[in-house]
Amino acid sequence: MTLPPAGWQAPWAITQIGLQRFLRKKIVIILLFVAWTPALLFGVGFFAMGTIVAERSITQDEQIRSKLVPRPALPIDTVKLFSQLLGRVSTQDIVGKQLEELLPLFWRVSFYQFVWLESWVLLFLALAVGPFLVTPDIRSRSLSLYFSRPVSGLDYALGKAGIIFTLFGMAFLLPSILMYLSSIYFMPTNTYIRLTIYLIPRIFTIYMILSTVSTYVLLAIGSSCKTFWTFTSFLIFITLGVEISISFVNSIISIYPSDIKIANSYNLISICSILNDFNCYLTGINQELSRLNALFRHEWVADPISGQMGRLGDMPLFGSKNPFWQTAAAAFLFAAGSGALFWRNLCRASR
Amino acid sequence: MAPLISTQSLSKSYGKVTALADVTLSALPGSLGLVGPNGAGKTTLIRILMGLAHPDRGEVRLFGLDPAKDAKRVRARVGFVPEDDAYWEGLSAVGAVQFAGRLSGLAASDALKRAHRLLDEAGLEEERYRLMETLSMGMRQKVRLAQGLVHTPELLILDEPSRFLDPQARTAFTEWAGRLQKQGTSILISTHELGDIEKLCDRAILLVEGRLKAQIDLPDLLKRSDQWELQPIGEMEKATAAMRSIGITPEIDNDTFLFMMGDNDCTKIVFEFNKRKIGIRRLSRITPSLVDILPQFLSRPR
Repeated sequence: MTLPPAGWQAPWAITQIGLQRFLRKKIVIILLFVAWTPALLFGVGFFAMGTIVAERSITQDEQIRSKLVPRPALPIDTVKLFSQLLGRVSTQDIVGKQLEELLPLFWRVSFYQFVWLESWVLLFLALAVGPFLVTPDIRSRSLSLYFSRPVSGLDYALGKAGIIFTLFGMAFLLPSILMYLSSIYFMPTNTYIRLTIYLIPRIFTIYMILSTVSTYVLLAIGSSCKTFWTFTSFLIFITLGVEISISFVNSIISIYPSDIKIANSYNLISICSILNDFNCYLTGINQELSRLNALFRHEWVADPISGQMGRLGDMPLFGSKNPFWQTAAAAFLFAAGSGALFWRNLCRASR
Repeated sequence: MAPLISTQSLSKSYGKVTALADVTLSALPGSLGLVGPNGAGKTTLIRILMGLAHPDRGEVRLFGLDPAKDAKRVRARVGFVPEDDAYWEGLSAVGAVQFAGRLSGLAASDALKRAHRLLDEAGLEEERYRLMETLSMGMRQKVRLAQGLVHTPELLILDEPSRFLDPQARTAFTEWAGRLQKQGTSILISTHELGDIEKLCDRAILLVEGRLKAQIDLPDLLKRSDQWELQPIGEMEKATAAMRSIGITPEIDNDTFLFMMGDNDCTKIVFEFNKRKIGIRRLSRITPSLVDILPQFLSRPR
């Protein structure tokens, strides 16, 4: 008697075949390269700075080290310059700081910006992958080929989700881990490892949230439309989906508590706030001012749509006043709605 | 022997359209043909058997299992070739057959070996490395047949299998299906090509407007034909008189008589012709085709 395959076999086969197809696409390879570039650059920067600190420690006498604070002019200026270029660091934050104090700050700022950058890469990756996730199966009527085999709708969805999770893992999780490892390499003392180890589960949480929300939305819209309309819909809907995730990211990883509130009060709806941040990053315009502008701009967009939604950070949502959980709940609600839509479309298409 | 397929009062509607109405049937392992005009409910019956659609009323069993509740166990034992030109984009022919095998639980290496063997049998040489979307519809149909067989199913369900095949490929397909039957694979074939049913099936199920019109035991039915032909030696007038003398009024087609009679009348003809000294060149039963028989069933009231 022929036995049905083990539960993981069909989803794994679907994921593997899907990945093979996507990794043959030039745009996906380019996006993965772009995703790794900042991690590699930051990694090289950390490595270089770490080397400077290490060499200095070796060459100086222990007694002198305890009395004098070594200040090689070039490295500290470089660190200050990088920190300011990266944004999110005011002049008073770095004035009078020593290298050992500045390096962790630089690391936190770098990491924050890295995650922000990766969100954009993931957005484009979602756009490159999403329209080709389910639509070709509907177009070529191959759903009947899946479901005439020991493959359930859940296996199919898990297999397709596996593609997104793997690609997002390659674009976000792996470079994030690399970033973290290269950042702890340059830290002056091991205390920093103890203080920052919480970031590993947080990186994983961010990755899971981004991948889950994106997967559901991609599957939902991908199963609804033809390729062109899928792509167009992504430009509108996925942006929102990823944006919710970005505000979630902000609330987890933000170095300034005020960011959490502000991020939640405007990032939830409007892409213009992210574009504004992007602009600030490029031009070095004062962050606080630009955020206030974005908040102002957002409110007149959001208020007619949803009344007080522009002030989500100030009001209780989903029974919680904690912006972190508010955003997480919003993201999962979005994912659940998309999941239901995908399931309906799948049932309809496989008839 | 336990039935392979059994249904009891099976009904299914899509809105106001009745696809199946009170269908009760039973089929032993072997080869079964599913015939009927367009919209007769053949594909719906197949989809219910595969667990892809659920009946509104009634029961269905395949291998003694309920396809709706034990969908995975049922599908693991079934190979299915859909009627559509369905294919996986972006995969080569051999990759598609291998993928089908993997979805059915085969290891990747085993699935690849089987894929190459089946594509050899299907006559796809270098074409097997081409992407599915670049193959002709006939080639894709061969790939789908290979996909249906890659996991060595106990039952192969074919929905319009020769639809995209050229005559040569169609002959090759019937030979291939015949070999499968000898190896013990049961076949359920739904097609408008009645010739395929005659060649491959022991039984045929006739569906009309969602209702089971007849379950036809093909070898018996074909043997039971009462139509004969006789070619006499000599004058046709004398032979005609001899036939009429025993109560048979034949149709004359050139030098051959066509007529209906029972097996017992055969000796009467031989005796009468011998008595009148008329030679017989040939006396044989005409084996009818399903095409000849089917209208009789279609015209019968239910």
